[in-house]
Amino acid sequence: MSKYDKALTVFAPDGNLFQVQYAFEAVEKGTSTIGIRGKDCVVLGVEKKPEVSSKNNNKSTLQDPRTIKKILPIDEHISITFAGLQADARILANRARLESQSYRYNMEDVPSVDYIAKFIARMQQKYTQRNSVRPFGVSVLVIGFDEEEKKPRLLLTEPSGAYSSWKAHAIGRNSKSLKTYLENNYEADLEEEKVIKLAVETLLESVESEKHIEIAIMRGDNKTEKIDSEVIDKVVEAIKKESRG
Amino acid sequence: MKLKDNEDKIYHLDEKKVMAIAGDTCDRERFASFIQRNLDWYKYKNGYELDLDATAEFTRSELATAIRKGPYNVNLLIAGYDDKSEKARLYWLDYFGTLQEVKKGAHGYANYFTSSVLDNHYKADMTLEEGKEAIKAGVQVLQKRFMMSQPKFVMKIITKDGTQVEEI
Repeated sequence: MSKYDKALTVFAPDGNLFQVQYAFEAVEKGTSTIGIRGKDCVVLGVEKKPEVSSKNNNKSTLQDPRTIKKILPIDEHISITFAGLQADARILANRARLESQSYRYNMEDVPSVDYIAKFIARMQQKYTQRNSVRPFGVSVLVIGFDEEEKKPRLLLTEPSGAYSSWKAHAIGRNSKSLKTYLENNYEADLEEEKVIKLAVETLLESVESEKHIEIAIMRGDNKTEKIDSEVIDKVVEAIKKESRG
Repeated sequence: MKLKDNEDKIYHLDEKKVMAIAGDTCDRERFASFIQRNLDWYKYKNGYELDLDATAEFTRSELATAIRKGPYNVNLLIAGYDDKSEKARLYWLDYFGTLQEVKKGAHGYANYFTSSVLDNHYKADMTLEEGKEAIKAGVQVLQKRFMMSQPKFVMKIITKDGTQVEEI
């Protein structure tokens, strides 16, 4: 390994901060996560991989799959999901929750999705410029609805502290091929059903089994709804039929 | 001289909890906001809401810590429906950090005028209608005997189905 990757606060001669780059590698190892913006909804799709039995790949043994939380609500109108180190994401989520209530208390107003995404990104950046700490090993997808314009938002924050807004994005395992799939199949202003279908289709490219897909949708009424696994199964059925016929 | 007749001093902590709070306006708004925001933070951090008696105790402990530092000059009643025990409860708190679960209560001048009226109307296992009648009787006494003219009162009713707002 190069001699510039031991400390966070040292640039390599070619301009890289190796520790931050390695944090990106940690994100690539996380389970696939996608976010897609529709006309009046945002859909998050995550791959939930429970511990599988060593004998039978389709059976999860001792773990309670409900306790794997990948979609973390921050406030009434904002949720986040992530790829990478789950524990790091938990820390960011708790800080964002505190910041959201703090903002409401001090400003008597609701924080915008942008504000929370910027806050999370700012925190991630802080940890790329200090001694004796390591960067957060997560990329976070922030979804929500802007209070005033009632438009759906999807934002990405990265371990480097950069943040950007997206129409659709994929992070985690196989993110490159998922992003390509999204680029080829995304249409603007899709209705809810079509967005869900697109999310399921995209995840099917990466997951081992359709049982591992979890979809959550946030609509203008600010309620994040988890789509039932039966509904997902029906969508998968329809997709399979289409590809066969 | 009418200053304002639509100030709602009963803050919603969540679907089945309300806090009626009286005192200096700045302390009242700040403290109620503070408790609301703390309860919301707990909800988002842990995935479930803080239950009713814990809420009352938390509010009390904030008041008790503040009294010897920078007191909040507020008195409160916390009312709610506790899903776990399937009972509705009422708590009486004051600015020292007193907390007492009560069957009926009032703060301020209202206490002097209505405590006997509420006492007369109260019986164990009252129905919702009987409860509303008791409140209305208390309000009528205030409107008749108290020197301030208070034509409008807001009433909030908490049941297992949530909170309803009515005007008296």
